[in-house]
Amino acid sequence: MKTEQLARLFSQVLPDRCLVSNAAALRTFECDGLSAFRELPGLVVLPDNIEHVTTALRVCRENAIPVVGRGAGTGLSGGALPHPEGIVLSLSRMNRLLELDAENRIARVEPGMTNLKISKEVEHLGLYYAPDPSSQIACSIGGNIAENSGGVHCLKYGLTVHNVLAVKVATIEGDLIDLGHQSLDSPGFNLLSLMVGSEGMMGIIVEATVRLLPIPECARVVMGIFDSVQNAGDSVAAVIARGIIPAGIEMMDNPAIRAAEAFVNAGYPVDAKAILLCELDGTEDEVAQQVQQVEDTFRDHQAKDIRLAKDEHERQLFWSGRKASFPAVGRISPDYYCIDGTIPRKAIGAVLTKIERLSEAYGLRTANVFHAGDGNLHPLILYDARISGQMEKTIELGSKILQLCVEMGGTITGEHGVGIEKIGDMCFQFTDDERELFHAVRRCLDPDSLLNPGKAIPTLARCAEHNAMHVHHGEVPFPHLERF
Amino acid sequence: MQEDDYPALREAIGTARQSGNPLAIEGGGTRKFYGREIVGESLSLSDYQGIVEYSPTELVVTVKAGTTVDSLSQILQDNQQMLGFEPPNCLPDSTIGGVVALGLSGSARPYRGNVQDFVLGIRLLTGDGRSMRFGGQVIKNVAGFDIARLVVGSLGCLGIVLEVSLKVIPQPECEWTLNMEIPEVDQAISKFSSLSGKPYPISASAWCNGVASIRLSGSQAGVKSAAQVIGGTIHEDDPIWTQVNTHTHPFFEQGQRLLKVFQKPSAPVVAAHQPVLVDWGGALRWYGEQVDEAALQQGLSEQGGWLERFCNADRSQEVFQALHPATMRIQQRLKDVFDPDRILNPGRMYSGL
Repeated sequence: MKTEQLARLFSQVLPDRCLVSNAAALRTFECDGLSAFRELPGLVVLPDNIEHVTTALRVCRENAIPVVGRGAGTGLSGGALPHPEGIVLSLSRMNRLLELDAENRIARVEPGMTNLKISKEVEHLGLYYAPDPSSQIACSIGGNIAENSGGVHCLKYGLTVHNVLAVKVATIEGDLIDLGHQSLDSPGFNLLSLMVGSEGMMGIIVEATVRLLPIPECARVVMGIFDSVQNAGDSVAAVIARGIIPAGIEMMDNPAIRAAEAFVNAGYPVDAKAILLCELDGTEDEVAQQVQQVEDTFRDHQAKDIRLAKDEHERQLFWSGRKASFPAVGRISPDYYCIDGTIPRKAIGAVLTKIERLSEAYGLRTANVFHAGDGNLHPLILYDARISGQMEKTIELGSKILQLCVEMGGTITGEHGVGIEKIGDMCFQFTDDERELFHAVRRCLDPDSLLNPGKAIPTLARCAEHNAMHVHHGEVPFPHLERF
Repeated sequence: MQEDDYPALREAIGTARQSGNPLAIEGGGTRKFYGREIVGESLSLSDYQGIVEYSPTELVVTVKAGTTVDSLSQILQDNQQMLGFEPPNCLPDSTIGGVVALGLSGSARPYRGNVQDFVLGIRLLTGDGRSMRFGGQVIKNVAGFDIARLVVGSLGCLGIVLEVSLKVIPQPECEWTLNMEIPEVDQAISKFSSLSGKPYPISASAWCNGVASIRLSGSQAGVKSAAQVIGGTIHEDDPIWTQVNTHTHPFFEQGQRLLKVFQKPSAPVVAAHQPVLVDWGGALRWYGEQVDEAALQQGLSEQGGWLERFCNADRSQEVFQALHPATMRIQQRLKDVFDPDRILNPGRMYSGL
């Protein structure tokens, strides 16, 4: 449906302030954090409340209009890429705190509240919301739930799925359902976990109840400086083997260290092959003991230097380089492309070596910054979109790296989601049966596939095309299946 | 492309689909009392045992479903690791597949998480005989919908769990239990709530017979300093947790009808209905035979909370809390997708599922 038609339809049921239909304003919504993919939506709907959401969904259902849910638009996989014939349902105005239950350490919030705002709202109680994607200042809790967002502290505190107790969902069929329960567990099949990470394809989250944690008494950061990526990688496994679960353990390779140091002067050694930032939190005594153990472990793995942030200021300084590493890389290259694969920790060294080789073969530089504790890699491929063909080569290299992650027993996405970006890569991680089941499960909540159509799960036809180069002996897998 | 290392199970499914006689999936057969009545021919997974993959530094173990919880725990213990969700009520034959299918978590649940929090991936055989893998062996993984966690606690109604990958955690260096006399249950519950808001390494808290028990797990230094602040008598190895988790506590007397009540941790107990045992820092309350279930249910619907008829109830009726009709409709459709011929544990969870 065209913009004029959509605007006419929705203006009959929703106030004008909730609708965006002029071309210039629609432009704001043409992409999310992955700007390589752009599409103008037919119409943008900005609901103020749940009733507006259910009204909008009813109109979409009755007229078979595609609906793309959107939080803050910070996603990195094009999950909120608009549908040209459909609406973008942007939940950003629904951003209030609805209930704060200090005794039970839970907060009930609207989906548009930003991740960091939740922690700010509860800070006076000595509590915080643990998952901390790097976009936490801007990203919304509704979007975090749709993507099952991660962050630096996942190894110890879990992903979004571990920190959400309940959600209220508006379904495309017109129901408002509560999944999960404030009492910790809930009866029936575990639909809450299914909803988390479903990339807006099963319902629109209109409320979320999240778990809050006590702010640790103390947090300290140890920086390990290494002459070999392998030794740094092995240190990570060795720390965990000692029974320590750090609050976060992050690794940067030399190109990333150089870029970050040039940008924020965090005091990183620019000649190091790799650094590890290991944060430990807990009670004072506990942290002191673990700092000692981590330093010993780094030393056992030939760390050439070890630095302990002496105060909160220096702790923030150590982190500043890591946190600014993406924009830092942006300064040394006209464009960069962020990859998000996960591998078993033991494969870190081997995978980094292979990435280096691939990078040479493609003639494209890479910088590696990643959540080493949980094996979540973020290689940044540096390229220049103005040079003809480089963008395509970059995407191909990215796909090769993800394929490598799957071969090593990992996955194509640790925390950014599949969206539109990695839809082709889904073909080599899952079989036809598995992807068909995903489609069937989605239809249990969205029978007409109106919610975020075309994202996250590829069709058989798309994979047949994508896998064409992997056909053995001229036979496609499961030749009896229809490919549509 | 499909590995066929479970031919007998696939064959059993084929036969059941043809004959229309359903299958009753069984691990070690130690929880036959749980859920609604069992129909169909028993299909045991106890022959499918063993570790598929385990590297301790990954904090991940992949096991076949018929592996006993005891043997898995032993292997983990040999590497100073453990299952974070403390599978409860385990007899020597209890299997990990059974624990995952039933979604049972022990006393550490509010502090460390429940079964699905620790499930990273599964291999599943659906009711139409397809073997599929969901999730994986890494902690961070958002590719595809989270079918692995959907299956946890579905009582075998969505498929036969063949293998499961679980996140494991290091065994704490030190573990102490602090006991304190608190005669009133509501007082104990508010004590638990106020402590949970502090950054102490608490891993369990329970109340029974006027005694509140709080378990601290972590580094020696962390446990000691928290114990000093919290107070109570210190026990290095208190039997209460084993008794609660293995249901050997006198409360779990044979033959008694037991109700599990789930509420917000700090919610006051429903007036005039005192639970016998409180676990999960207040979020789980056990009631025995003497309670007036209808009145308790009434209180729960006013206060927020739900109950489960854990054992010795009339199993021809529903034993789990009724679901919202829209939620039930979604569950029915999921059943149709995973088990179109309704041959896997039909009706074990809800009639019609």
